[in-house]
Amino acid sequence: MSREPGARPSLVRLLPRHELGALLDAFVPLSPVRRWRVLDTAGAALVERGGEAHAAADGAGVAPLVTPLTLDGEAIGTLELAPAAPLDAGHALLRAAHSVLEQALAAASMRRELASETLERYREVHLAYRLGEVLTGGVELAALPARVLDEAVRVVQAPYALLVLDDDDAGGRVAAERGAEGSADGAREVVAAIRAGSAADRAGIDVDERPEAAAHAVRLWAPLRAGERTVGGLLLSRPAGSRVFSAGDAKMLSALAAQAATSIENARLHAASLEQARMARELQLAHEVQSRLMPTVLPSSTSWQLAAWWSAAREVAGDFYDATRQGETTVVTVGDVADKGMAAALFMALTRSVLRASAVDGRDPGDVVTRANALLCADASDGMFVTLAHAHLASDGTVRYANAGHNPPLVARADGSLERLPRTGILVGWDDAARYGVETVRLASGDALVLYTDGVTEARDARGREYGEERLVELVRDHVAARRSAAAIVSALRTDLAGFVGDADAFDDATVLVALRGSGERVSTSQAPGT
Amino acid sequence: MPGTLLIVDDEPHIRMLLEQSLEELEDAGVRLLSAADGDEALDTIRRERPDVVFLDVMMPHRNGFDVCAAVKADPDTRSVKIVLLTAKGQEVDRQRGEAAGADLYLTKPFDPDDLRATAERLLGIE
Repeated sequence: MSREPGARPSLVRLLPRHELGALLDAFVPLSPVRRWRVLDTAGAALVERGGEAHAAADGAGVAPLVTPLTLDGEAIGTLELAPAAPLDAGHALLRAAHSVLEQALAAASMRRELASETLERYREVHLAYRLGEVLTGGVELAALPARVLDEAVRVVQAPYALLVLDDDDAGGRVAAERGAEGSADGAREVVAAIRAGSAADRAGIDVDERPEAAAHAVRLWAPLRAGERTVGGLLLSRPAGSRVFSAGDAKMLSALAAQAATSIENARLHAASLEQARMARELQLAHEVQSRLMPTVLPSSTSWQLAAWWSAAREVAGDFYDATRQGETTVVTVGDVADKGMAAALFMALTRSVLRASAVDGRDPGDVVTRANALLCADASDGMFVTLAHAHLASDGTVRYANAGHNPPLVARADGSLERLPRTGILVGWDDAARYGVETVRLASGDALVLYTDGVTEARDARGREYGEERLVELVRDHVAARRSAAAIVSALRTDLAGFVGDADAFDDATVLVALRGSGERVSTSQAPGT
Repeated sequence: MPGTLLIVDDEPHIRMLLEQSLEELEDAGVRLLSAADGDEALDTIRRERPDVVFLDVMMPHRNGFDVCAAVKADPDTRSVKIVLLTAKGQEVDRQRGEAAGADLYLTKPFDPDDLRATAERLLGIE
């Protein structure tokens, strides 16, 4: 919409008639000139001054003197003198009048150019104001490209405009388009052009003279750059034969693109942080759901006193423990899915359910795990495995267990001795035909069975050192020997582990379950899961 | 239906910018006039009956509000459309302008394109 740059303003635009007249008025009384006229390039008189004193009779037959008025070497009009008597073409009066007029024109031209520059600044300042209002007013990311294009075609007139964002792997998505809808071929052309333009770090102007590009032959583009990154590009086009975009247009589009890119980037970051917050809320919810899968009250009895603790390294865990009663038998499990995060958490939930469903009808622990493995292999996606320590605790102190690839549970005796319960099969989920054996161990009153995951023994302090099995064994042995309760042993372990890890980030989930053989008389306590 | 448009600003440079922004309207046959203060503006309005006046608010002696109010109070000139040019963010000005009966506002720094588009719209030029 801005004035065509370089277009020479007409003489009358440079010097209005009254100003031209005022200049001539200064010369009229000085000369025996019958008539002064200033003509435009078409020969029309813009202003005329007659020397009435030298009326028609004088010099009627004398030819007028004509001299062109030029600006920057270009004729923009004519000064014409009709003298009363023959006058030398080099006459001082003519030269003086001509010189004064040309100087006035040159001064006016310079004034206009300054004014044009000022107007250009006005446009830019105004654009900045507008963009500030339009683009930072809490506009959603999806609506931004269209707004930017609206502004673009407002400040630089073009029948077609396109905004491409480099936010997909295909390397550019048309985020908004104005005009020339349906000209898919043309759009592809300009996408290619904008991509070429996006590679550069500045605006560009070109004219594509190929016939197939006729609809978008005259082009102007500017990259959308947020900091050092090109996030897309803006392109305006006009059909072949249209006025070529000016450097001023390019400047305006660049100014717009700079602010638009920042706004788009901000909106994008805002959207990303909203998404992150949503994910965090969902994970928190998942954590709560998962926590509820762990028994809040453990089925302690006079024969077996149970306590457990579970901690997730992330919002959701692949570790779990479970404890149920089947008649006189207490069934306990600790499991560790070989991964972390949401997928592990889902597999953990599935494993727990399948195990519970399998542990029926007095099946021994080996059969339970064998059955659960077959079911889980059928359902498990690739690469999901779980290690399990699954034990059936009889009221007489007999413990029958299966160890599916899990780190050996500990049996800490009241007399200070210690046993590790070895594996009876491979990890669950690996081989659907796997069979799991069962082993038996007998616990006396005051003896403890400790099931735990490697998150306990492999917990690291800030310097990267492991907690280790040895430290766990020492702690358990000391507390069992000291006749501490199951809950006290778990609590001591939590405290010791927390003191060891300090400020270091938890790397893995950690779970421990302690089953302490009771005297058959003590009232048991239990502990809810904690994090 | 080209008509007459009057530009009023006491600041010669701003007046020139306004004139230069609007001079292309002359090609459509619009007559452009200008005035350098409120009194001259009122005289010109009464004499020439312009269709549209772009009127600066901040002028010595008789300011834009006064001129606007006087034009709108006179049954002979009441139909003249008045566009007040106010400084950016001067909401108080806007309220005073409304009270004075202004038809429209443009804020300075004005966008030359907006200015011309506004003039064309008010003059009924396509």
